Amino acid sequence: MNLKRSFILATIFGLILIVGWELYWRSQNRTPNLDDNKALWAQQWSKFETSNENKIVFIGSSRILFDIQRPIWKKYTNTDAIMLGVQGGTPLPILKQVLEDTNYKGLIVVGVAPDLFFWASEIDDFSWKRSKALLDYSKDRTYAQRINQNLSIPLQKNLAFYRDGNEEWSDDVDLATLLKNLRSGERAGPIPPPFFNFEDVHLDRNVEMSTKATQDSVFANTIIKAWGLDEWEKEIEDSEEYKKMQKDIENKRNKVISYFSKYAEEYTRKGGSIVLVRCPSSGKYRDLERRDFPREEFWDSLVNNTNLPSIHFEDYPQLMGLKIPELSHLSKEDANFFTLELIKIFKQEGILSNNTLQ
Amino acid sequence: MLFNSLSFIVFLIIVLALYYAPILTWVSKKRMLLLSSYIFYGLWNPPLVILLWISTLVDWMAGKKLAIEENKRKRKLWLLLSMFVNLGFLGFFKYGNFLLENFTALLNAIGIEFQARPMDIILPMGISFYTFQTMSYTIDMYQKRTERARTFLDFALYVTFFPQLVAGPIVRAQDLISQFYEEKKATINQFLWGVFLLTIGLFQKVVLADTLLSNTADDVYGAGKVLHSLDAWTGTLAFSGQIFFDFAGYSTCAIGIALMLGIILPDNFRYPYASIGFSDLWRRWHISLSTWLRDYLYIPLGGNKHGIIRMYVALMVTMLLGGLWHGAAWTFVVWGALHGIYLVVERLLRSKIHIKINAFNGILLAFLTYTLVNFTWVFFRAREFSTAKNIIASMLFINDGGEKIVPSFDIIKVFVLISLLFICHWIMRNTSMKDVSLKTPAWLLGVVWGIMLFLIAISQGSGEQFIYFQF
Repeated sequence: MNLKRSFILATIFGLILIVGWELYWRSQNRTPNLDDNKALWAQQWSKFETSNENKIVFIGSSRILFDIQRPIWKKYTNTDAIMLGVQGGTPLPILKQVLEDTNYKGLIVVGVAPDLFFWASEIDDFSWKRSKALLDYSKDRTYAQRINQNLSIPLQKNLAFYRDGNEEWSDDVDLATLLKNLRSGERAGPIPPPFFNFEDVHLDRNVEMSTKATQDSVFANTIIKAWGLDEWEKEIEDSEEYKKMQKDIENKRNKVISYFSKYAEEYTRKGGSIVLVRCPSSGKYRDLERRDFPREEFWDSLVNNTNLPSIHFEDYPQLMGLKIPELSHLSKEDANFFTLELIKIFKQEGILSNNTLQ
Repeated sequence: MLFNSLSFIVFLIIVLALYYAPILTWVSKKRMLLLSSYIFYGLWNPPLVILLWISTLVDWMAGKKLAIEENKRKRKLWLLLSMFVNLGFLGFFKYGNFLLENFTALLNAIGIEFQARPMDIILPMGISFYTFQTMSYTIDMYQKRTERARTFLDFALYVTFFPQLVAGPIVRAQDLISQFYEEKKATINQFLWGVFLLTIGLFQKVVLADTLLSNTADDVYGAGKVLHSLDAWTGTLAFSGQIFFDFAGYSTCAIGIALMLGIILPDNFRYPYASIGFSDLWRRWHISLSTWLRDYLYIPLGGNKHGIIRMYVALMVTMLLGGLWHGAAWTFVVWGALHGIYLVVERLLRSKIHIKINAFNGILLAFLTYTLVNFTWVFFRAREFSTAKNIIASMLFINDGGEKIVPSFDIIKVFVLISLLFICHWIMRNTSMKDVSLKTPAWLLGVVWGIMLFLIAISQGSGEQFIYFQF
């Protein structure tokens, strides 16, 4: 055995394979992109806890994350938008944590996506778990994990094949995903439709919809399919299962409104302010929201119970008809427009002072 | 810090650069290694380094006294102090909540209403490993089986040496401390072999355990349903592979990293899934723990010197405590009990039946052993007895029409991988990786090595913790 020769060969061969792999994926139009992972969220949380800048906090789910553009917000309000929206998460545990564990008394903008917000009242509920996981990670992350994140970012920014995400996008090219994609018609039930990555993420956790999702309607349709709207729509209103689901939603809604009202009241008593924002959705998604989360019973009930200032996109003509390629999140251009219009509305409603608008 | 993380790559490069730079004396290099080991541990949770310091100080003091003290009573007291501190830490941090839960359940069972709030205790990473390692030093000192460490620095480095600090191998004082007395420098071949072992270890962990097997095991054991027999077997086989690749991967990394520094650590695994019987298994699986349990528990309990009954009792107690060492849960105790029963039955059978092992019956017996091992893994992996019961019933084809949750592709993947693992262990059972590598052409070893590096790079993973860190 000549280990030296083996080592040199392994290094050269390994490098050739890795470079070849990178070039191959670039030739497939894959570009380097940051992952909106738990470490990035934890960095925002840490910034929120430590920054002395003039700041506003955004909590909610992915709609607030995509629809609020931090550079626009910063430019026109001169305040830093701390983005704590959680993809697939509910803002409730985040609000609770802000209330209980921090001294923050500024403005909190709460994005309300009905199916995630009103359907998670317990720690075991899907969107609650997702938000809680990020809070726990932020609290428990080790120094080694912080260093790993700092070392991972240059790799994420420069290598198309490298990922460091917690979402399992179907177009990831790590070995586990590539193998998973080889699965075909199944003994374990139908394979869920692919869910492709449609976001461009920046280090400050500003998230924009990718150009591909905005311009390529076929691609956007794959995202729509991944929302599972067809399955949702198939729930027959007369069926026992549907009635059970409705009952479950109703119970959870009552609890969510009760919890949220309590937290909001405590927070405002402490001197803070909260505004509720219902970001746009469209098409079949909006239709199903109307069917199963009717505005009067959900959004209006929340607003009436909390007495908080609220912005529903359907109450403002300028926020209607925006481009929502996959029915749930705004395109980059319209997210810029939405952010600017929201600032204007905030000022009109007295939520932000006028002198911050340049 | 995890071996399979970017921060560790940077950490190791800095340590190696300082170690081999001609600017430090041997004593300074050891100080640097000690400081690096504290950083390695502290980057996870800095305050818990204090436990390491206390353990180090107490055992250093105890060892020092045991080296000169001749009074038997006083010697025993120094030993007891060491045991009290180490087992006390272990008892509080690892078993505190478990004891409280069982105490509460016991009171409730006899009709006393009592509710206790679970204590918010962090389990210090690797506490079971380093407490056992330091205890072996004081016990050996007490029994005059080893010499006292020459300096505090040597002893502190023995307790804290970062490659094996958090998940072994559990090294005896005479095997490691003496290596610190004289300057160590890896030869070029040792260094490169260390790099090769590190690559193999990472490949086992990142590619085989985390990427190819863990998801299937997690899906099956997290399903919360009665499963089809094929699914239950697939999940259990996947876990048997995952835990081997995870733990053997860690040990291989540790041995490789130490070798890059010129320090030799003992083997911890010798192709255990080709074991013929359970005595053989425990000579091949987690060797440093099984020899520890043999020397410090089984033999003091009587071993095989005081009759058959006493031997079986000693064996069962050793395996039960060995099970509990792995985790503060009754499922681990059952895992240990099953291994104890297997060992007792095997010894009973051996006294009655004599089989001459050849290649044909050997592989059949190895297969039988591996099959029985899989039933024990069910209790090791399942968090609750109800899960274990369902999985075992499905594996024994008792459950009719269980649910199918594992995709066909994953079933094929797991069965192919586990078959290869078993065959590989069988072929390698009487040889070693080093021997095979010596016979392999340099170009072939280089190509395989390069492919492993590539697969590690494209697997990436999310820096999953090694399973044995929790023990």
